[in-house]
Amino acid sequence: MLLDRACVDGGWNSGNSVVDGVPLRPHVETTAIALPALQDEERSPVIGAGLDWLRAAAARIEWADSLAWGILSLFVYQEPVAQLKKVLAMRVSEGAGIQNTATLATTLLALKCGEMIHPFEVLR
Amino acid sequence: MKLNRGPNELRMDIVGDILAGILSRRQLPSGGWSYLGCRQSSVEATSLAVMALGLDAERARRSGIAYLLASQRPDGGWPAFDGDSEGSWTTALAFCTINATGDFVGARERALGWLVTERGREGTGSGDGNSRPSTAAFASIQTNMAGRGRMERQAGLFPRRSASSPLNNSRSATGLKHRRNGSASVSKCFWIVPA
Repeated sequence: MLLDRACVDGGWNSGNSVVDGVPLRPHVETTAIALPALQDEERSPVIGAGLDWLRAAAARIEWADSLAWGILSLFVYQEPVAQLKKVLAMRVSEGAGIQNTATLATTLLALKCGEMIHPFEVLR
Repeated sequence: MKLNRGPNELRMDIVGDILAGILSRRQLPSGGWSYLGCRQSSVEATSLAVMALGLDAERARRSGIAYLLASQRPDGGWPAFDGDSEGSWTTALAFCTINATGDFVGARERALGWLVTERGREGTGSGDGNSRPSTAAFASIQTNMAGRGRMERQAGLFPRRSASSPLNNSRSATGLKHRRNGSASVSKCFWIVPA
């Protein structure tokens, strides 16, 4: 199902990938959640395109929640996340406090990425 | 939030400590966490908080796990919020959290049963009470971990992968949920990680 629902240019959104013939844009958080779900699958073009899209999108993510999910996802695929973690830490430190507790926890998970067991990585 | 910094360096460990402190202080007397400061615990917020705190805040973590265990429904699912009358996608997330403890086999078994039962069913939207794309339903569960996946395999839920699979020593689970209108939603999906 995940592979079937991938957006045309890579990544995933929260619904259908095409509506009325119009390809829809992927979402960062959805893509970041979908990719680790496929970590056990053979690296297909769909997965590769999603990873490429997330990698490119990560550099311009502004929201802590999406950035945190992006870090957690990219880390699963052995992508470098050190710089993204610095950006996330900077955003958190300079911005207002994170009100949403789920976002706060996800941010903390992302900042600890690589320092503790990754909650969404299958250990091999 | 002002942090001590080096000339060009942000101390991520300090940021983490501060966030962990904030997270711990937000824990409700019930042991759970809410999204935005209300008194109604959310399974999503609680599960993520328990995972994020890890062993750094053992007391908070333990009471968070106790809350999750107490809030599991008899059918094995978890509601999105305290008081909800049915299980939701958060079952997959709570399952990951409980599973990471390596304990509470009964709770994990019931959760797996719920997830398998719900697979392919249309969702009711339960758990959509937040701003995140949460109309997700169960898509697949995979458990491949030798030893620790024994329970699931004995239950006949998940066949062991072939011996040639490089994943024989790991396991994972994902959860997705379908929209009621039939359009698929790719949203919450989570993975089980060995403790």
